[in-house]
Amino acid sequence: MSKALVDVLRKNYENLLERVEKACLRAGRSLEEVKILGASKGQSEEKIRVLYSLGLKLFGENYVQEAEKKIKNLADLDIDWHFIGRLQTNKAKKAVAFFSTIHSLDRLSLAEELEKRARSLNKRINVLIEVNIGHEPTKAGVFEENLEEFVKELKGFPNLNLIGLMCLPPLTDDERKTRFYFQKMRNLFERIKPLVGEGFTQLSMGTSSDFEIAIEEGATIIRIGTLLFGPRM
Amino acid sequence: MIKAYFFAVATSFLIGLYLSFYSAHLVFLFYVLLLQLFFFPQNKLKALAVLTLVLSFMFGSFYFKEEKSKLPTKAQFFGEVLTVEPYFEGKRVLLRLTSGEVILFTAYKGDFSPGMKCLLSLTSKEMKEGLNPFRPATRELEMAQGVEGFYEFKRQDEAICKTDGFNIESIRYELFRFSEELSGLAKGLFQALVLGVETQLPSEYLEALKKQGLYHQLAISGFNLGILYGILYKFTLFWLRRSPLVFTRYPLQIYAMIFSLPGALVVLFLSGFAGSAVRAFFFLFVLVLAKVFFRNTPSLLILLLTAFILCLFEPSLIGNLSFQFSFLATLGLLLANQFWQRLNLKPNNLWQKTLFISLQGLFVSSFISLVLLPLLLYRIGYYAIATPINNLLASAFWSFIFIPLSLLSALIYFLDETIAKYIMECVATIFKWYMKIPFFDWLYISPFSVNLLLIIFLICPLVYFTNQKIIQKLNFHLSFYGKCFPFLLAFLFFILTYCFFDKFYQKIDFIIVFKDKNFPHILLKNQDKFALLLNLKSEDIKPYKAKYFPIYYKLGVSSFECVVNFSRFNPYRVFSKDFEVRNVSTLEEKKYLDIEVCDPRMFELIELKEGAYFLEFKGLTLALVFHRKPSLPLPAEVSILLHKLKDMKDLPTESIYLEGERQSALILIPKEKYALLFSEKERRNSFLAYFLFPFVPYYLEDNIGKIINYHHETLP
Repeated sequence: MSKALVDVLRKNYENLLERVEKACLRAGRSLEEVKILGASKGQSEEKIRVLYSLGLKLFGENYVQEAEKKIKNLADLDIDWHFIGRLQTNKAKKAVAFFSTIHSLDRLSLAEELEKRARSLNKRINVLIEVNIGHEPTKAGVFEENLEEFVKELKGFPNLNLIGLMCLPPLTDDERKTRFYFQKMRNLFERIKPLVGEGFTQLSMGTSSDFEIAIEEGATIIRIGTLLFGPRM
Repeated sequence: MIKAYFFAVATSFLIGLYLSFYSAHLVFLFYVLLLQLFFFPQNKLKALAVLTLVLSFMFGSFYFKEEKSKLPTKAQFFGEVLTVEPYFEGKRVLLRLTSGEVILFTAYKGDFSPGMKCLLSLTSKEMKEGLNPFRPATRELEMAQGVEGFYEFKRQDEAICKTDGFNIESIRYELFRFSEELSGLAKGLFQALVLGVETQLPSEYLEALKKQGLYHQLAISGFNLGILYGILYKFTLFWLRRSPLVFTRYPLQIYAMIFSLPGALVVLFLSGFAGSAVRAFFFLFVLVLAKVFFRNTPSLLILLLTAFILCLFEPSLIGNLSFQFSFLATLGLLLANQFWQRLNLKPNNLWQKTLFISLQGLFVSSFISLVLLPLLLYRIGYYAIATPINNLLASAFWSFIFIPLSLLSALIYFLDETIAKYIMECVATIFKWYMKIPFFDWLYISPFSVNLLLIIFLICPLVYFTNQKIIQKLNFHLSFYGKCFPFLLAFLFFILTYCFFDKFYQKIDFIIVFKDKNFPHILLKNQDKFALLLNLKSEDIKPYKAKYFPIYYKLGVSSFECVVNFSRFNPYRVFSKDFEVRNVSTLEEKKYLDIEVCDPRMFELIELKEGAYFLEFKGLTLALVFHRKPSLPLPAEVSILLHKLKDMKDLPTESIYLEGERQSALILIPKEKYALLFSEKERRNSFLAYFLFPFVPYYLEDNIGKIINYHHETLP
C-alpha cells in the first residue's frame, strides 16, 4: 500500500477522532463511552490493516460473503467483527460463525434462525434490534410500537444476548429532523432498558453524515465508512 | 570605561547566580570562567568579571540551598487570597498565609476571589510529583515562582471565606468574570492577551501556535506592553506636535515617552502585575529615565541594569522561565539591531525601504530565535524552525489587531459591557480567519537526548575562542575568509559531534518507568525505536500531555513504534498531532490484549490472567501489574506493580511500586549479561550520568545503579 494512501487514512482517522472528541465535549460525555465502528463494506483488507494499527478494532460488514473472505484473511488481527447489513435467514449460520455482534435483528424468523445456529455452535451472540424509526417502507427494522413486544419475545432465545438498539434514520439534510429521530431512539432505548436489564448498553446510530448529532443524543456506537476509508472500491 | 566595568559586573553576576540556581557543578563554573578569560580583553575587566562571577556563585549557592518547604504537606491554612486565575477546569489561587509565606493552590470547587480571608484545608501536591528526567524538581519550580509550596484544594474539603473590604486585584477578577461570559475562543484570547492566562484558549489553537513558534505572542509580556506603549507614544507625539509644548526647547519625543508611561501601567495592572509585565515596565521606565537624564545610554546596558537590579532584590527570579525567556529575547533583539545598524543600509526608494524593513525584521527575529534555541530545547524540547518567518508574517495581526483590540475591550468593559463583548467576539472572528493562514509549522526535535545536544552547544564556543586565541598568539594576519576559520572549525566540530552522538544514541536501549500517581507509564527505547505502555483515560489527556510530552521530546522521541493503552480509550489522537505513531493498541472490554501489539523485535507482551503481563525486552523479563488484585506468582527479574501487595508470593527481589511514596522515575538499562537499575535521583547525583545520559551508564557505567542478573525460568 502506498505511503500516500496510508497518510490519507491516518489523516481521516485523526480528523474523525477530533470531531468525535468535540462532539463528546459538547455532550459532556467521555470519549470512552463512544465506540467507532469502521464500516468496511467494499474496502480493502490493506486499509483495514492500517486502521487497525492505529487502534481501531471494531469493524462492520454488510454482506456475509464479502466479510467471510476478509475475516479469514485478517485472522491474525484481533478485530471485533460486527454485522451491520440486512441479514438474510439463509446467511445466519455464517453470520453467527464469523461475527461477534449482529446489529440488524429485525424479525422473529431471523431471531429463531440465529438462535438455532448459535446453539449448534455453542455460542452466545450479541444482537441489536434494528428499529425502523422513520416508518420507511423501503427500510427494514421493527416499528417502535412493536418494539416492547419483540423484546419480550426475544427472552425465549437464550443464545441471543440483546445488548441494544440500532437505527438508520430517514436521509435528510435537515439537522433538526435527524436529531429528532435520534432523540426518539434514545427515549426508546431508555424505555426498553428496564425490560432487558444490565447488559442492554448499546445504542448504535450515526454514520459519516450525522454521527456528531448521534453522539450528542447518546449513541454508543457510530458506524463510519466514507469518512474513514474514503470512497468505496 | 565605567560602562565596560558595569557590563562585566552585571553579566558575571547574572551568570553566577544562574549557575548557582541550577546547582551547576564546579566544572561548569570553571567552563564559564574560561570563556570569560577569552571574552574580556583587559586584565582589570577580567579580574573584576571573575571575582563577581565567583562571589555571585557563592552567594547564590548559599541563597538557593535546597531546603524542603517548612510548611506541612496536609494542614489547615489561614490567609488572604491574592490572585485567582483560571486553571484548566478549575482555578489557581495565590494565598498569603498569616505567617507571611505565599502558597499556590489549585481548586476545582469553591468561589474564591481576591481579597478574601480564608480558612481551608489543603494537601501538598508534592506527594504526587515524581522526579522525572529533564523536568525541574518541585522545589525548583516553587522557588522560581516565589512560592513556598504547591497545594490542592480537594473536592471533599471545606473552606470558610469572608470578603474583607476592597482589593485592587478584585477589579482584575471582575474582568475574569466578564471573560467567562464570552464564547470559547473570545474568552481564551481575552484571558491570554489581557489577563496573562493563556491556558484557556482551545487546545487546537494552542497547539497550532506552539508549532508555528508564535506562542510567545499569546503570553502577556513585554511584547504586549511594548505594543501599547508604542501606539500611545505615536499618538501622544502626534498631539504634542500640535500643542504649545512645541515652543519649549526640550525634545517632544521625551515628553511623549513620559506621557505614554501611564498607558503601559494599565497593561501592568490588567495583567495582575505578572512578572513579565512588571519586568517590561521596569525596563521601559529605566529606558525613559536614561533617555531623559543620560541620552546616550546603550539599551543593552539598560537591559543588564534592569536584570541586575531585579535579581539583586529577588534572586530566585533567575530560575523563572518567563524571566529567562524575556531577558534573552530582549538581549537578542538589542544585539541584532546593533548588528543591523552596523551594516548602514540606506534605501533609495520606497521599494528598497520596504525590502530593508522586511529583511531587518527577518534578521532580528532569526537572531532572537538563535539566542533562545538552547533554552527552548532544554525547556520545551522542540524548536519551531519557521519562527522567524512566521513572526514576520503574523506580527502585524498581533500588534495592530489582537492585542490593542483586546486591551480596548477590557477598558470599555468598565463603561459598557455589551460593546466590550462585541469587540471581543469580533477579535475572535478575525482570529479564526487568521488561523486559516497556512503558516509554516516545522518542528525540530533533537534525535538524541537534549543534554547531549546542550553539551555540543557548550563546547562549540570553546572551540571557537580557543582557535581564535591560537591565531592571535601565532600573530597570523589573515584575510576576512581566514578570520572565519575559527568559526568554520567550530561548525565542523558541531556537525561531527552531532552525527557521532546521533549514531551512538541509536544503539542504546533503555526503559524508563514514570512513577506518577496519576499517569504511571513506561517508555521503552529499543535502538532507534520508542514504545509506550500506559494506562490513560480520556479525562487525563491535558495534564498528561503538558507534563510528559516535553520529556519525550527531550529524550529524542519523534515517533512511537507502538503505544499500548491498558484501558479502553484509544490514545491515537493524543499522540498523532505531536508524534508519528505506527501502532496503537487498547485493552478492549472483556477481551484479552493481543499479544503482538508491536513488532516482536521491539518487545513482547504476554498476558497472564487477572491483569498481569510479562514484558520481554532484550532478555529482561518484567512483570507488569496495572490492576489491584493480582494473585499470580511473577517469576520475572523486575516487577512493576500498581502498589505494594500483602499476599503476593514469589515476587522478584526488585519490585517497583507505581503508587508508592514520592519517588523518582526509574531507569532500566538492559545490557548483554545483566541490566542496570537506577533512579532519576541517582542519575542526577552522578556528574557523568547527569550530563552524558544515556551514554553513561550504557557505555561507561560509572558505578551507577544496581546490577540485576537475568534468570530465565519457565513461565507459569
